[in-house]
Amino acid sequence: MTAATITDAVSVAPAGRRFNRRTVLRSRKIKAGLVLIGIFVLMGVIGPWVSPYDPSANVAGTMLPPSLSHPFGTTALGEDVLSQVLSGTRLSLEVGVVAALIGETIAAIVGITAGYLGGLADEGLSLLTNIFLVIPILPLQILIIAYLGNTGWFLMALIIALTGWSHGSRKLRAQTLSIRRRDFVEAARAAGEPNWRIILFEILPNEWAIIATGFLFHVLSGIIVQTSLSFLGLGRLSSWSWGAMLYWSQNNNAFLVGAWWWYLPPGICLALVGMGLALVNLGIDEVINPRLRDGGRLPGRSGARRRRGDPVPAGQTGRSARKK
Amino acid sequence: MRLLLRRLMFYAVTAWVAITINFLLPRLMPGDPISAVVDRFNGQLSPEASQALAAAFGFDSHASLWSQYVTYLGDIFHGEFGLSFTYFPTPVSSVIANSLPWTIALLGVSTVIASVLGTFLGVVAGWRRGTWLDSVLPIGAFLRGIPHFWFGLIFVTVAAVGLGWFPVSGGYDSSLAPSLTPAFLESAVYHSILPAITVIIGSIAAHMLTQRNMMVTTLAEDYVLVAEAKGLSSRRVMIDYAARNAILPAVAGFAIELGLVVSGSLLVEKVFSYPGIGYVLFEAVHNEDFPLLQAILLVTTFAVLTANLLADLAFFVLDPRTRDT
Amino acid sequence: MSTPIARHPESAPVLDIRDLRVDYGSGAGAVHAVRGVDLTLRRSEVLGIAGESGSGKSTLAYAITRLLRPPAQVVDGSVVYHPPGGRSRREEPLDVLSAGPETLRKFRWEEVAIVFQAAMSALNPVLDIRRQLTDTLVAHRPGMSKAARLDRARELLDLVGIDADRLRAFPHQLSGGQRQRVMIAMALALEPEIIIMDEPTTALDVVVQRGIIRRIMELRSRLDCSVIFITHDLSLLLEVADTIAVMYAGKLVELSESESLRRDPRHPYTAGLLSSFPSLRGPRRPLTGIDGSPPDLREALPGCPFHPRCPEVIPACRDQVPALTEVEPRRHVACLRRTPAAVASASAGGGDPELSVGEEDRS
Repeated sequence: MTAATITDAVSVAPAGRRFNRRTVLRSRKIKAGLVLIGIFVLMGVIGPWVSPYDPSANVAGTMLPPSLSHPFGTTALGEDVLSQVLSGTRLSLEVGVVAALIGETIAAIVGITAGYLGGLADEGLSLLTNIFLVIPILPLQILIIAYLGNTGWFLMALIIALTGWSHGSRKLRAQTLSIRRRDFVEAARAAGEPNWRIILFEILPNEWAIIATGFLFHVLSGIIVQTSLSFLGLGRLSSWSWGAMLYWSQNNNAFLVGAWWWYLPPGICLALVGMGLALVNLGIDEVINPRLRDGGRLPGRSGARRRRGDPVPAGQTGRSARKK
Repeated sequence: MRLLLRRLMFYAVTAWVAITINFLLPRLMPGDPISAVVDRFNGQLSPEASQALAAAFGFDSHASLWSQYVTYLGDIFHGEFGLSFTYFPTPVSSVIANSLPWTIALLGVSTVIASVLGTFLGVVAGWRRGTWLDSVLPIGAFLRGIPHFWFGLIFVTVAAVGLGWFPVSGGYDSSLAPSLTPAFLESAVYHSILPAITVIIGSIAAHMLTQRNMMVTTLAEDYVLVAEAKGLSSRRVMIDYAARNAILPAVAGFAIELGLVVSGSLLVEKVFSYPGIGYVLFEAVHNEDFPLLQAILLVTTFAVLTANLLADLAFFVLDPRTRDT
Repeated sequence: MSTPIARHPESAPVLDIRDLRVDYGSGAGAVHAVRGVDLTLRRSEVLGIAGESGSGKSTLAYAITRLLRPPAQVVDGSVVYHPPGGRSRREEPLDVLSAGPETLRKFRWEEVAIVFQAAMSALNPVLDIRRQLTDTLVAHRPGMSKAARLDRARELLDLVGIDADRLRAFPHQLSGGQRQRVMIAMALALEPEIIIMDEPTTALDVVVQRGIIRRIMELRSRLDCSVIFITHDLSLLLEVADTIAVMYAGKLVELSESESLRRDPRHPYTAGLLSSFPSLRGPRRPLTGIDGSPPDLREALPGCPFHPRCPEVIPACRDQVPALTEVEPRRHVACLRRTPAAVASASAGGGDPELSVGEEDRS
């Protein structure tokens, strides 16, 4: 058992906890996160239509600070920054979502197969996963896209997916390993249920939380990677995206002259989307692992019974004492 | 012991994979980048330079793929990465040798500070639930979704341009020449403060959050209950029973985090025009400097592998269960 | 163990538990795990607490030492510790539930030690055995030198029959039986007055179980301490305990000397438990179990908690909560059908008309 396996098994939430749908919907974090995400999804969909100006057109003076007619000011070429932000949302989100869909699917296939089959298949797939975990992915992505030249958003999403799947795969493998040893899986195997059915109906349902959080995390990292790559000047800079805005702003020395209205908005958008996704993830974490919820402390009935000085660590009673 | 050997072998294999990817990638791309590049420079090169360029790709139109590969491997082992287009005709190895120390200084120090501080804060936050630290956590979650370089943007705007407290760009005052004089060192440190803070703030949140969650889980373990039952002092329970077990995954995960941090910090360098590998990376992308790009991939991979190895050793010391496999 | 432990004469109380109530959670969905338990532990006594899963026996034990974790909390009752004098460090009785943090810390392990179940998860994986044995000494005996602590650690291991070279070992390097014995050694470190054993042998195979039980009993007589032995295995208690308390749904239903309990269980639940497993000796008899399943502890449970499953239920059982009454010297039962009034009316009336009704009523 390698160090990595110890990590996974411990940091992964206990499986098989029947989740209360009401709890999921009731979680404030999840609701807040979904609202944030929803806003940007909306922006992505209708953005290009509601932008006041053509983002690539010279419509006003250059490097103008925010004003009524240009709430986010203008660029060095006289383009309206707000329009760029609105139009660019779609591409930034698209890449993230598609990369996450493909990437998470790969992660699921690799991780669950490795965890379920064990043996040589596991060794091989784990080796593959670990290699891609350790190699710094950004330089690799940069190299590939530099070679490819003028890449459209889909190709970029594909590259991001093909290089960034390993985190999710590792978690899923750990979780699959622990579920596989459970009695209900053994029972299914003994009953002769074919492997694919077991995976689909016994194992996958217990891993929904990990897949969900993995997917959201993937989306975020996809968006960040796309932004970073565009920031570096890769990919098709003629299409608008948050990263492209950052690139052009730095190229025109916006940082040095303090034209903050140009480069801060795309960054803030990124931060807000990130926050939304992180909130939903945190919320899912708390649903699965109730110990993390802040409601772990209860007011003592008689104050004398539980003194503040007692080391009262959070969490419920240990495994041996539960349910006696 | 055997575990350590397995890890070493794994790192060797990973390094080999990285090298092989470097070899195969240009050959798999549509349009054959190698020939295009070589043609571009043909006629402008001295024979040695031409050879060095070919060495970067292991390109030899007369040899079979396999012998090209072998030659390539040999070149890598000799540190022969070819010539850089951007800084032509400087060898890639010199370019990297010049910029790597900057990155290690900035990145190395910042990452260590961020993980140590973050882990410590996470331990305390997990131990004492209901303190002010708990309210920091949502902020931490928020920060986690933000790429490091964006903090750099904020800091540049506020601290450098706005308030003028820190230099806006560069690794050192441009009037000074790089040397080990106190004046230079002082300037270097001054210029690195903002980028360092950027990296630290970007990564500390993740460490704190993970560590706090780990601490909460560990505190529910039976042996912690036993420790309390034994009437041990709070400090002892927190340190010897809770923290010592809770940080294990953090140590194991540190090396993997490093891979991510490396990626993020490269961009921070770009924001600040800090003369490290990140800045060089940007130039290389801009100029389609493939030899340099390849070398950066290799160098960063090797650096991360080394960090991994160190983390493994640390884990070996901290967790007695690993010593018996 | 062919002969039961000799009965100790009535001696001074060491632990007085009155009307202890423990809830998990609060408000409407709270689980009432312990519902008013009165219990006294005497000097040198081995008190067994038996009950099935969910009866509240472990919760009771943790409540005594205030080791309950949220959401569990003590909502009423008192636990008073009376130091037996001599070896003990305290002189005055201690109200455990309202003790301050420092007093509590000193109380723990010095006066009361616990041997936990499942020693693998109860031992800290990153500390060696020596450390885990000596850290109590560090915490409670500040004057002790390092050498003295090491000696004591060796002594403790010797007491439980483990070789001293295991001091440098880590928990994962020991077998299950060895780990459990380390737990016992740990508990003895400060020579406590009370040792609480929570299912100390449940996770072990029967052979190892035997050896450990034997060792526990030897140590007990050597140290002359009181023991609370918690287990679901009533047959085990019949052999080692002086007094047995049977818990059901958070309440005590029977509290008797073990010998009397074995010969003549009074409460229907106890009788059901005893007939659930065969005895090695004596005539063969058919095994019966107990119908039904334990109640939902979130409910208020009117009347006797056992009445839905009781073969002798009468209508009164549904409304009246039977109190734990002493029906003979050192025999307490909480059952309406066994209290003197009921017994008297049964023998006087020569047949209780409600008896036959009870049979039909049980549904």
